[in-house]
Parts: sequence; structure tokens; C-alpha cells
Amino acid sequence: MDKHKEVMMGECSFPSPFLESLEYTPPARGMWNIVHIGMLIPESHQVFICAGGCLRGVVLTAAEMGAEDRFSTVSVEEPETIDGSIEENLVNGVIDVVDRLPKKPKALLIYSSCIHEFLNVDLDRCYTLLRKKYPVVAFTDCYMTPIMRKSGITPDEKMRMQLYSLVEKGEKDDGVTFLGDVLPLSRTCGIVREVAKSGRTYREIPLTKNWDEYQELGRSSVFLYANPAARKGAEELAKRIGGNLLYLPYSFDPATIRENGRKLSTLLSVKEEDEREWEAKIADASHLAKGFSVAIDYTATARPLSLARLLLSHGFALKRIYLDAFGGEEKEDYEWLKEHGKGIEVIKASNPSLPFDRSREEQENVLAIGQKCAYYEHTSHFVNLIADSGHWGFEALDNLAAEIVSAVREKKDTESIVSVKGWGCKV
Amino acid sequence: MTNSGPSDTGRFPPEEIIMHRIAMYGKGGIGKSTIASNLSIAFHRLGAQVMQVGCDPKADSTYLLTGGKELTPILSLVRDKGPGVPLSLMVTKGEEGVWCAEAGGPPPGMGCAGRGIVAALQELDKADAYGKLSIDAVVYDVLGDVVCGGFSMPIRDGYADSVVIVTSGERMAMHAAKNIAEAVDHFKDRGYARLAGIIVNKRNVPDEERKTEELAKSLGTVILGVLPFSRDVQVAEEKHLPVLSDNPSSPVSVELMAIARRLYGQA
Amino acid sequence: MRKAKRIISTYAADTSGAVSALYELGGLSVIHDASGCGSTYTTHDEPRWYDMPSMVAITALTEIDAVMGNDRKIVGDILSAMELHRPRFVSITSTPVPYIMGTDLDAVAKEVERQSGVPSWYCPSNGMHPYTETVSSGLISYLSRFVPKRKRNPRFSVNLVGVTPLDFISQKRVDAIVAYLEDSGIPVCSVLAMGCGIEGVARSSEASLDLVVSSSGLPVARFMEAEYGIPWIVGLPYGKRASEILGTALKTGMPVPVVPASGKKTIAVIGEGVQNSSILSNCPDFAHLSITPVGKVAEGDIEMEGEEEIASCLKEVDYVIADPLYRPIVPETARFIPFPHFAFSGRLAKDDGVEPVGEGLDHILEEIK
Repeated sequence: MDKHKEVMMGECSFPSPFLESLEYTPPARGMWNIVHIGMLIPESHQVFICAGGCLRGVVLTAAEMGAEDRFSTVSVEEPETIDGSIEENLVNGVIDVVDRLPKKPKALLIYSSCIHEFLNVDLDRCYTLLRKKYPVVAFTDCYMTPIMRKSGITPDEKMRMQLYSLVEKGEKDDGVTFLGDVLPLSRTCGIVREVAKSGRTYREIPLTKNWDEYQELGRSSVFLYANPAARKGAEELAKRIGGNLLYLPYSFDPATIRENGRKLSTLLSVKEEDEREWEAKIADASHLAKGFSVAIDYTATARPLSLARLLLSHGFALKRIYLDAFGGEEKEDYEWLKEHGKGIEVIKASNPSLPFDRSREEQENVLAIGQKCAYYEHTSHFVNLIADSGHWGFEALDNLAAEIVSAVREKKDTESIVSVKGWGCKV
Repeated sequence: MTNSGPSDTGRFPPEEIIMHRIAMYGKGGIGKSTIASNLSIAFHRLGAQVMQVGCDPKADSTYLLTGGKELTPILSLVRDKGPGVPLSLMVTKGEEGVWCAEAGGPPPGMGCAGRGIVAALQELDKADAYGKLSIDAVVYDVLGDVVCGGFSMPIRDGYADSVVIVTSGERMAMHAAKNIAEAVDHFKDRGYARLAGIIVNKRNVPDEERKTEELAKSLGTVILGVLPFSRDVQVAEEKHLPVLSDNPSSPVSVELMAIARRLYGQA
Repeated sequence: MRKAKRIISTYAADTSGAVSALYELGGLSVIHDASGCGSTYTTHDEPRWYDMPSMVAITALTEIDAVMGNDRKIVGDILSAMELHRPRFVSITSTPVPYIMGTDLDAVAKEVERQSGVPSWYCPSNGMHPYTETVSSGLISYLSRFVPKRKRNPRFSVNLVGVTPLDFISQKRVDAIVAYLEDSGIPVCSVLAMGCGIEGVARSSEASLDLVVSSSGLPVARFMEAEYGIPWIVGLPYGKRASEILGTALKTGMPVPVVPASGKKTIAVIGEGVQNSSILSNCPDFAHLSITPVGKVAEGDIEMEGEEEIASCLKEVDYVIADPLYRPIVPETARFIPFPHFAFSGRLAKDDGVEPVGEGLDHILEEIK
């Protein structure tokens, strides 16, 4: 097997099973990008400053979600990369945009780019000048800097941090704010139900409709998060404005879910949620999926190996996992899969030969969980799960079982679903 | 804050040792690294915990402090091990206890040295180098010309407080000095490092002292010291030592100590 | 400020142009980029991405590799990708950071070719120029390596030159143009480069005439004239009148005449120059304004792309024909007629409602009185 593109689970190294190579991007677009995520701040406006080619993806993201009026650009051109005017052009460009907006937004998200890092633009100074000019507008620094993705904090982590950077410290109540995810948690999941049982107010950013509600996110005295990419943002917020922080990670492992449930119910002083007969439901789904080989990919969940372990240990014929690297928290599941799932093919999701390795004909007996593998496997039997899609705890297992049953029984129009950018985003 | 001055031991009282960060600029080959290394020793003798950071892809700033041994540059460590390099790998204790670090960078004609300087200084920040080692004085020894944004990083907020320019009476050296001073002046509204003064490293060109005094006056700054051209410096270099260590009573060593005291007096 | 756009979109850049032009020709297109430019191309600049496999990949540049000048890695990664699926050629385009660092991608291409024996080239680009530049340079590089001069086919035929989805949205539009020409008695030899295949493109040097259908095609046509001795004219059969004029020009080999236009009312078209000219030539009784943010071709084309300057230009016009994403800056006093341009609105540009070939455009022009 060529480690530039695939390796058997039994021979994978952790955390990077593959050799570096050129990278390919499949036409599966459901994951949210930094534009989608930034739009979660109500009454905000985004300004991206970059070369035209880089602006294109983000400006059309905004256009496709119908948010052109909340999105502006300032292009960086050749002369300013040489004559030192790049910094003043950033400031003047933002001023030009803001002065032409029909109404001043509550917040301005300024996205600088790789070229600003490489020309060492003094962004602090830029923000100081802008804040002085527009004292009633809250500015936050955001980054479209993929070149820096291996230099420390990833762009995704940074964006999830900046999402809450404008929440101000204020009066506290006993509310609970769930942090770091882009789709609202399912109303029936353990976190939401237990908070409701406790009588506390439940808050999360996808539910906020205006600036005041966004600010109320900070009133909570308890902050929860489940996505490891949200950790830095959650820690920073809790430290800055005060609050009790609890990490309740996404997981498909019942023991972990029970542990999470215990922590939460102790904190909220409520009885733990029941397990929703998840095991029977998963068993039914597994039985129905007999005859299907199963593939999953990393975009489906923050814990793809945990998902893989659940599927394998409950009789699903898991054949392939598509990802580029293993997450830091997946070591235990990795060890288990290495032992019990040696023969699973681990395929580099970004390897450039995939368009040609992909089957030409639609596969009738392949069940895919995740948009990328639905495309690669060329199947219409697919579970459109994206970054856990707001499902958590035993409710996630319940939902997974139901989605598998549905996917086995009914085909989906894979192309039209996976082509939608930022699945579930709304202006 | 003004110091009461050094005690009989030559050291400043501990309460007067405050964080002092200097970025040294000047034409390539003017003697910056030699002077920086000696000033690092001098600050240490005055009582400060000192770190010298070489900001040059050649990674040759600190060799006089390491007995001629080459350090593994920070950027090479990042390239090989990824970001978040342990502090113990990035810094080495050198002559008389001065901490040494080299930014490093790409080979000639390749890559982006300016961005490299930014990345290297940020790695030191991430590792809380100055905090963990209780550094009182940092000497940033910077490549010859401030040719792009990256090379101005050492004078930014959070790095150096003072810029010291090394020059001789040679025309090209003074031209480079003027260029750098203009850059510092250009940034004066930003709270960046201020120009502390000029160190003259004499090359015995005609009228050298007058020319350099005129330069200092035109730039609105002071001459911090005039280092005589001295074989003692080269003799010490042959031994991979700073002249302050090899020959502390040499006139050039005496002047280096005086410059160090003057810089501390300005802190 | 010209560079600041409050609301309108931006055109596909040079990073994408060559990739689009060479998509169907069996090569490996490498974008020297960290991440975003690659997915921007595949999502917004390439409608063929879902169903038609092509090797398009990014180098996944990181800060440390950029800083340390790790050009060897670029060469190594390209060579190892070529082991997975052997391409006929390698074409490289670039993005802002390698540009400011002066990364020598010409040398990288030469090294790849030296080691692999596969023709390789770099199309100068940096993400700050429009797509038209590398559509041209990409096609020229390909022709110069793969299409030798051939004996002219005695039977008259034309090449369509400068054809990418960026200007033509989909194969459907291209097929419509080809069908229109052939139905008019003008055989099409080759389409550079959509829906034609490798063999089809290889025949292009046999054609009698090049029809430049987009501004990207102009430098290509000049190259083909110099290399293969093929003359060229510029035109698109959009609208009945324009198609008739073009048909005459093709049969006689004369350039498409400039249509004198004047009238009390003004029509403005915003887009690429050849397209603008074709549309406007159907309306001789109106004053014309051709605004070309990309692809200036004619003397009278107004090269501007700033939002405010375009809006200002449109103050006195009566009709504006442009991509729907220009609508917010069109004054309310003007009648807006949407005409999607994939290079501007990407996937939002659909060609199912607008079929401008031949009389098709006249349905759109009915609104103009």
C-alpha cells in the first residue's frame, strides 16, 4: 500500500498515518467555513482583505447563503505588497466599506490573510486605528490564514475562539451556554433536556437572533463544550468573563457518554438521562444493514474513530475510513481499532488520485456516513452527518441508528446534498 | 527611571535592574554581532540575566558566546519538530551565563527570511522564554538592512524598547545607519522602539569622529560610545571569545562596559 | 476606494484560469497554495468537478516550508502524486505568498520534467490577476508541447478558441455554439478546450480559421497564427443579428465589423469583452456602454472593476445587462437584465434560463425597447 494514499488500520501510525503529498478537495461542501461561522454573530458584518483569488471563495460563500449585504471585501494588489502600503490599505479599505454601509453594524469581523502574516503587517495597530474611528462598533480580528494551519492554533480553532470574543463580561445568572458548535444541539439531547429539567436558561450562539441575545451568552455561569476544536475558545471565554467550564466530548462510546452524563447531572443537580434503548436501536440498524459495506469519513463527526469502534463492535461491516490524520483525543480508539479492525482500509481523504480511484458506477451496497465518503464511494445510501450535526450523547446514538435505517431503506440525491456549502447555515 | 548607578562591584543594585530590550542594527559586516555579544556580557556583569537573540538566517550572531559552537536555529527546530518547540532546545547558556538563541532562516535565495524572524520570535514568546529564564536584558542582533516587515519585528511593541545602530565613519555604513534611523522615526507614532543612540565602531577613516557626530546630530540622537579599532577584538575572536572575556582591561573593553552602563542609565 | 467592494463579487483569478482551460486534457494541475485557493477553484470555478475526474491538487504549503524555502518538497510531492496516476503533463499556477517570496516555480516545473520526463510548465500567476491571463498561457503552453503544425485540412473548418466554463458556464452552452455554427454550414474542427477531448485538440492546427470566442482566446489565436499560420477573427453568435454578422465574417474570412450604434437610450453590458460586443451588436439603435472588469478587447471597452466607479458609470443608462450579482449597484432608474457569468458568480450562474446562442438571446433582449 502506498502511504501517500492508504494504509491498513493495523499498520497505521498515530497521529499521522500518511506521508505528505499534494492534496485534493472533493466536491463535498457541507462543512462550515469561516464565513458561515462568523455569520453566527448577529448584526455583524464581515470584511475580508486578501488577493482576489482568495476572496472569491468567501465572497461566493456569502452570496450562496444570501448574505451579500453582510459581507464586503478589500482586494490586495501587487503594488502594495512591495511599496509598504498594505497596512494603510487595510485600514482605508475597511473605512471605505464601513462608511458606505447603510447602517453601522454592531460588530465588524475583519479577516486578514496569509499575505498580511508574511509581510508582518501590524494588525494590532490597524485595529487600534479602526476602533478609534468607530467607537460604537465592536471589532474582532479574524483570520483567513490557511498557511498558518500547522503553526499553532488552527484556523478553525481560532474562528471558534473569535466567535465569542465580543461577548462582554456582565451580570451573571445561573444559565448554561453551550459553546463552539455551529448547529444548535438537538432539543432532545441530554444536555438540552437536563438544562431544561434544572430550570436554568439554555443558551447557544446558533439560537441568538440579535446582538443583545448574543451578549446574553455571557450571562451564564456554566459553559459547556463538546467539540475539541472549541476548547481554546471556551477556555478563553470562561477565563475572561468568568464561569464554570465543563468539557463533555462528543463520543460514540457508551461509557464516555455515561461519564459525561454523570458530570452534567451532578453539576446541574438533576437526574441523569436515560439511555434511550440505544443498544437495541443500533442492533436493529446493524441487522438491516447486513449486506452493506460501510465507509465513514472525518467530516461526519469530531470523533471518527469512536464512531468506527461503535460500528465495528456492533456488527457493521466497516470497510473504509477516510481521513487525513487522527485527532489527539482518539488514541484509545485508535489502539482498539488497530487490534480489532486491522483490515479496515484507512484512506487519505485528500489524496489526489481519488477522483480516478473512485468508482464510475453507483454502488448499491455501500452505506456511507459522511459527505466525503458518500462521494468517494459513489453511493446514494448515505447518512448526511456533518460535525455531529448537533447530536450528542445517547441521543446521537439514537439518531445514528435512525439515520442508518433511513439511508439503507431510501436513496438520497447525493450530488445535490453534498454540493450545498455550509449545510444548515442560515443568514 | 534612573539608576543610582553600579555599586563598587560594578553591578547595579537588583532593584534597579529592569527589563531592557535592545535591537541592534547596522550595515552588514560593521561588527554588530561582536558588539552585541560583548554588550550581552557587559549587561550580565552589571547584574542582569541576559539573552542574545540572533535575527539572521546565517545564525552566526552568538558564536562568540558559545565558544564557536553553532546553535541549532529555532526555525530549523520548527521545520524538523513542528511548532511549540521546547525552550530547552531553542536556547543555550553561553559565556558567563548569557542565554543564546538563533532565529535562523532559509538558505540564500530561497524562502522568506523576514517572515522567519517573526515566526522565530513568536516561538520564543510561546515558550515564555523571557519569563521562564527571568530575563532582564534582551539583545536582538538583526541582519544588516531592514528590508521588509519581518525584519522590523524586533522593534515592534512587545520586543525591543531601544534601537542601537552600529556604524563607522565609512559612507555606506553611515548611509545604512541613516536609513534605519529613518525607519525608526517613521514608526515613532506607533509606540515602537525608540532610537537610543549610535555606537561608532571605528575603521580609522579620515575625520571619523566628526562625521559620526554630525550624523548623530542630524538624526537627533547621541553617540553612546566610540570603539577604537583594536587588534584585541580580533585576537579574542580567534579564540572564539568576546574581548570583554578575553581582555577586560583592553581600552575597547572599557568602552564597551561604559556603553552598557549608559544604555542601562537610559532604561 | 476601487479595491473596496461593499457588496459585489470578484472574478475568478489567474490561479484558476489555466486549471480550467486544461481540465479535460489529461494533465495534473498543481496550485501552489496552502489550502483555500484549491477549494475555491473546485467549488466555485469548476462545474465539471463532480462528474468528470481530473487531477487538480494543491501543494498544501505551510508557513515553515514557505519560510525555509522548501522547494524540494514541492518537486517531491508532485513526483509522488504522478506515481499514483501518471499525467500527460504538469501545469503549475501560483498564489500570493509564493509570489511575494519570489518562489521560482519555473525551476520547479523544469525539475519535475527533468526527473519524470513529463512535459511540465509554470503559468505565471499570483492570485491577483484575472483568470483570462492563465487561460491563455495555459492553452499556449499545452499547444506548444502537444500540438505540432499539421497540414491544413482542405475542407474549411474553424476552431473555437478560449473556451472554458468560466465564460461559457457548461458544455450545454458550448454545444449550442458548435451546433449553431455547424447548422449554418461552418464546420467546427476543435474547441479549445471543452468537450473536444485530447484528440480533438490535437487536430486544431489543421483548421482554416480560429474563432476567438473570449478575450482569453486572443493571445492563443495570435500564437496559433504565428505557429500554424491560422488566421483569426473575434466573435460570438449571441443574438440573431450578431450571429448573422458573424456567419458572414466566417464565410468571407473578414473580421467582424464594428456595428455603429447610436440612440437616445443607452444599454450597458458588464462582463468580458467578446461577450459584451456580441450582445451589444444586436442593438444598433441604442448607445452602447461596454464595461469590462475583465477581458478588454475593443477600443471602446471601458476597463473598470471598482464597485463605485461602475455604479457611477451606470447612473445615466437605461438598461444594464450583467451578472445578477451586480444588481445591488445598478441604479433603480435602469432596467436590469440578468446575464450570468460563471467567472463572476460561480455556481449561482445557471444557464438553464438564459440561452443566448443564435435567436436565444433575443428573448432576453425583448425587454429592451
